[in-house]
Amino acid sequence: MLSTLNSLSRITCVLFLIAPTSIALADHVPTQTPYDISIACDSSNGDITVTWQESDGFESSPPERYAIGFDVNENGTADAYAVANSTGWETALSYKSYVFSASYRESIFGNTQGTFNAKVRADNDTDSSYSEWTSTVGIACDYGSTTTTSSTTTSSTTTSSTTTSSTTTTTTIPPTTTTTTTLPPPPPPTTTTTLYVVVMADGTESEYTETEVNDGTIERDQERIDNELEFGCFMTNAQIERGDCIIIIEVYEEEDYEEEYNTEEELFNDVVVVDEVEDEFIEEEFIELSEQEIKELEKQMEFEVKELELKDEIEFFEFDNEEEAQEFIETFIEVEEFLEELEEVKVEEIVFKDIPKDIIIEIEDEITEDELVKEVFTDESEAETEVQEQVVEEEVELTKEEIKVEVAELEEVIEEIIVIDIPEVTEEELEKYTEEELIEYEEAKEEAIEEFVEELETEEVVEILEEINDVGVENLAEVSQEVIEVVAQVVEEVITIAQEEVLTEEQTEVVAEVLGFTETEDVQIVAEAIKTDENVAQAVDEFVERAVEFAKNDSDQEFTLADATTEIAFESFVASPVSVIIDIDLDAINLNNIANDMTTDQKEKAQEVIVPTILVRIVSFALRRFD
Amino acid sequence: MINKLWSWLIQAVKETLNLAWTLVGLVIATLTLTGQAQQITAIATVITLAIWLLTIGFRK
Repeated sequence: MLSTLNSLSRITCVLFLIAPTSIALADHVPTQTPYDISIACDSSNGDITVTWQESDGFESSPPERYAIGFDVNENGTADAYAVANSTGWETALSYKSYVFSASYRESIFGNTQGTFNAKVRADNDTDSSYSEWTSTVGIACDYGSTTTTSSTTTSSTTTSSTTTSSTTTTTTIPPTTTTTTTLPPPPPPTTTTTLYVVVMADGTESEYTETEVNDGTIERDQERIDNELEFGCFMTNAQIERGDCIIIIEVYEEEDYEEEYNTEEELFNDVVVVDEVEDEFIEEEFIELSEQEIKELEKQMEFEVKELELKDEIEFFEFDNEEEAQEFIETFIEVEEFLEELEEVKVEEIVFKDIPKDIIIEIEDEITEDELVKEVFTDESEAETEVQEQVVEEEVELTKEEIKVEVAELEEVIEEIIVIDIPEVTEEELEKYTEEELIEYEEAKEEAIEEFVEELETEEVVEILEEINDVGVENLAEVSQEVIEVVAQVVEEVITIAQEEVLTEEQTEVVAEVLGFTETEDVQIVAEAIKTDENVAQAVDEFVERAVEFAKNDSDQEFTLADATTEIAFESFVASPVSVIIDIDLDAINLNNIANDMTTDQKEKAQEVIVPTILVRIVSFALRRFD
Repeated sequence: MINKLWSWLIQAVKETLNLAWTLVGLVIATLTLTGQAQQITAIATVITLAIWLLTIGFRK
């Protein structure tokens, strides 16, 4: 009994721990669906007001606006049209509303009759996060005729009681139906409204009030008409841009086309050539194409174009069947593409004056199967291409002399670009400084470097980085401490620049090379990561100094930003192990894009640790079973 | 009650020691990761360890 109670208490304890986890995660959806949607009709002016409640604010991507879908039908759907309000999330659990005026509805649906259905969705375009739609609410609000609000209440109550004498009495209250029909509303108020008759581009005339003229309703209506003609969606340009309209690409099936328009044979075989070709509509098929299908279509088009180009040449060859001819064209295209790729390969001539002894050249000969299979056709006969050997990677380690030259170049570039406004101090003078004076001097120097580097142009920063790449971060130990400080500041600055402006592809490549990234996208990821992750920010700050220290240990391995990040994470963990748990910002966690804020290098390093850990655990479980 | 708590504490230490290698791996993994992945791994490790220790009796 006691052990059962014990088990029960433990299970309760576990459930108690698990339960809030799911609730916490549920609350932190990226963008919450609006609550408590309702709809109301103002019979005095025919306005329909859709009201909803804002979320509690516990979301990663709060709404920047609300989309209101609407339609008039009896099916209870609101998918045909949508508008967006101008304000997003403001106050937790406050109410927002959107008014559909009678004239607006009339301009879209032709009249204000029928049940007007609406639903709401919260949008955050910045994060591309959209909530679910709310349930649909509907109301009939015919302005000018009769506003009818009918509500049917059906209640059914069944009670039963059993007496000790086993007799059962059942009382059933019949369902009651109450129908309330409001009387026709009073005639519209006799206010004087200036009406403007506007002739639209398609020749139709519409009436607008002064307010509607001023608030841009005419322009929006014109956009709706234009877009309906162009895309079949009665929507404004803003709605189209937002993607509310599903634009359908019209595709003719090729076979139908050929069947219908292949008049070639008829013309040649028929004795009488009929001038009037039967004008029949081809059944059009509307297909939404995926990216894969579009690529296939493009490939097919390319094939057909090439087929036409080679049509005359093909006649010189004799093919046994159509398949062989098609194969020839495909091979021709492949060979052309291959030759284009070859043209893009830059051939650099390297001249060595004195060939140093310690040059290590790693050459990998990679011949892909596709290249071996490729065939080229000569004018006379078919022949196989020569095997192309491709040099994939060529790493040249710099000699000490070359390093010295590169270091001198780097120092020269830095001296040209950077002018630090602090008094020059000789080594002898520095030796005479007290500790306090030394610290003060170092701080002043650091501040001066920081100020100057901040003012540098992006091109100048990238120029210094290019020189760093020439030297190699691992060889920076050869340069003076001042240069290292400048380089460290420049690396930090370039990441700040990457936050504020878009670097060109070449600039990004230079930055990526300095930080040891294989993927250029990692530069942008780091630029974003330093905003939220202190370890990454500190790693960028100290990367150069740590790389230099690492190089002093004569390690053959490359030191990257991921290494610096891991080192700093370990140091902060040792300093305060609890902070790893305490300093967690649950609001910032978004399960949808987990690990998107990690660089490829960091992911690879993490993978190297996590996978063995899991494998060890699995093996230990397996061994325990065998025991 | 104190005896039970004490015996549970001893059991918890034993279980934690059994998990030492796994925990070392997870701690290193947490330190190697950055951003959200790091935070989630840290939380998951702590919660799972807590559940593991609280359910010693139940699992036996």
